[in-house]
Amino acid sequence: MEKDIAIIGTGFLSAAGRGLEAFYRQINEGMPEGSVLTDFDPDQYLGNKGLRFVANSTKLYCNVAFQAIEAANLTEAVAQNPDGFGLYDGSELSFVDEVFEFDLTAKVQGPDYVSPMKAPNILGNASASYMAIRAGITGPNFSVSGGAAGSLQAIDMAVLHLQEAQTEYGIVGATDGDCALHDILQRGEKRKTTLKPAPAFGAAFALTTVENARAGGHHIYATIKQVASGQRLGFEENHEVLLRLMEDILKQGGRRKEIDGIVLGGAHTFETSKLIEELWWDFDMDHAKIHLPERLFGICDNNAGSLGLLYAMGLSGNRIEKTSVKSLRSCLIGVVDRLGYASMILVSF
Amino acid sequence: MKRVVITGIGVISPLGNDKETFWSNLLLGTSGIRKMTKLPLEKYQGNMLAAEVSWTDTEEDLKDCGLATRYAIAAAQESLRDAGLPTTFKGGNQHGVIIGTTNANQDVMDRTLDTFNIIEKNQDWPIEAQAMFTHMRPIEISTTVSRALNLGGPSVVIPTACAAGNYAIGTACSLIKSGRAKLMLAGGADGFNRSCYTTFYRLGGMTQEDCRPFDKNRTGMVVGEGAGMLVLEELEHALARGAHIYGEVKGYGITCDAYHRVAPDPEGKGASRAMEAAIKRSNILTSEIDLISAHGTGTPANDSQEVNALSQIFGEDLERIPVSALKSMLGHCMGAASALEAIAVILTL
Repeated sequence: MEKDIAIIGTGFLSAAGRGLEAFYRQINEGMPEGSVLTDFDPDQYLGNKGLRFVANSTKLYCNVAFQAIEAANLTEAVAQNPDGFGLYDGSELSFVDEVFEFDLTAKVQGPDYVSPMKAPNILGNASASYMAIRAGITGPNFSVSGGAAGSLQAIDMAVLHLQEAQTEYGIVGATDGDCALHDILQRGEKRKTTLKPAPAFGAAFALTTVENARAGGHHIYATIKQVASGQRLGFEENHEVLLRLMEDILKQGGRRKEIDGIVLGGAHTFETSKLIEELWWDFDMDHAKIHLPERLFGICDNNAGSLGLLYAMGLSGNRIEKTSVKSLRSCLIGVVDRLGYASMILVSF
Repeated sequence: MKRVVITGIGVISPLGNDKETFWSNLLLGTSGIRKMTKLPLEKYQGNMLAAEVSWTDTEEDLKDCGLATRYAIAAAQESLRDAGLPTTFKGGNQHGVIIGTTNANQDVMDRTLDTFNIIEKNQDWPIEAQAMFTHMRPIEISTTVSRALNLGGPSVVIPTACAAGNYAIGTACSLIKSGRAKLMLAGGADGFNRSCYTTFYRLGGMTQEDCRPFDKNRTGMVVGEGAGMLVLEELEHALARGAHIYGEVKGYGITCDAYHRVAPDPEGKGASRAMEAAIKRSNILTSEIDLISAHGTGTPANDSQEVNALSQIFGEDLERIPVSALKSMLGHCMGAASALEAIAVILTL
């Protein structure tokens, strides 16, 4: 990439709490038994008025996006330069319960009984567009439907705009919800795994160019060096599309010997032993330890990339207890969705 | 800087399902707006209109997919044939697809609820219903196109409502300019569904007469459906294979008015900033522009803000530049709208 991209702020919310400390607590100690996320904006960024018709997934997205803005000390910058900020949402199906209720009402009771106030909730860009209104952000407003790889795909799009100087800052978030329709979808997919779905959580990151981060005196949590994405083809298995992206990133200039960690999401969709074998024999990367944080956290529908990035940040800062890894210099974070779409980034610390 | 050209187009629309029929109907002023047939008329009050696609695919393995997916594949295949390219690629990361959508595959929700007579929120879903429901995922649109055509590069679905087709074309252009891809299929797709139709019905946005964009006495929009796909190539790539070049994507702008969940900023600030950015990034003057393809939905709110936006950018030049608003013939094809309108502009050149 022409410009390295810095992560300068983070946001996290789950039933375990808010902020990075809550994330580490959840990873290290697990979620307290019976905990359910019921307050989707404990910080009251949105206040209380006018939220009756706003979906929980939207409130959750807004909360973590505001957290990321605040953590990066960008609140003033948003007010001064709203065009310079882009908003990105990598949640594919956070709104599915809203669509279901809307459609069910139209079918059973009739269209005249559907609340027009709930109509915005059935759109895939409901969360990012509501955040734009509440934060006054007028740059690109970008939602993507990348499934489990959606949060990485949203980062990819934010990076693209930063590279082109379409934006000065990107606020990227995604949410995973506890909703009834997700359960139905997961049963329909016949997932071959004993792992449970991840509990509801949202995560967000504030991005800018390294040059801009340094000029603004921002703390840099991690630096994104390369991005790649692709689709599994008919003759490929899911682990092979990840390897193809890895090859792409190495061709772009990623330094093989410096990569000491590979954090993967969507591992329930492929055989990790096959991936490890090829990494050793074909990639000469037996020095890079593979991490599968969904084994600790649960399977993510949208946020596997966010989870991977937060986990890698934890590894680099020696905040993850259930691992022998005590530092991380450079790390590949990749996710493949059940439908074979994959996204990968190379980050350094 | 790499240049991006358009070398192929594919259409599934209320005005025909191939380039030639679509174009000749536009030239004749034929309207694709008729009495709505795809939902029970008796459930809706008034003269219910729609711009429906008349088309049936024959591919057995797509029968469970949503309409957006099926329309997108058909339009993508046609665009490749039009570009003189094979409809199966050799894989790799250099060829991809980006599709904008509003409602994605929400018709799958309709079909599942209707087929299995699901009438209550907490009702148990039969296994077959769960399996059918998995095809609702928006990501299935691009992954199915990618796999059908063996496109191994970026595979993106952008659910940014009416603007989604333009988002897709712009993003594909950026990926090619950045060197991430040599060729991208980009456009929009949406299938007729109950939630979308009911949304505009309940919001009071639909006309019960003609759709008359920019008319003083306009009374609203008409819901449509379809898909428009364009083949975007790096100029050198197109020249090397002797491709017919329809036109060049010079630049684009994306913004958000951050105004209201269902209403545009009356002053048209978001739209004017998007046009301003597109013109600036294209490095052209407003005096060089010979045609403006407007959103022109036919609703009082949209068209007046759009006139304000156009006036801010073009001033007195608006007296000279023709403004087209094809929704009087095409209806509002949602995520496909801007892609189909881009195709019409290309055919005008």
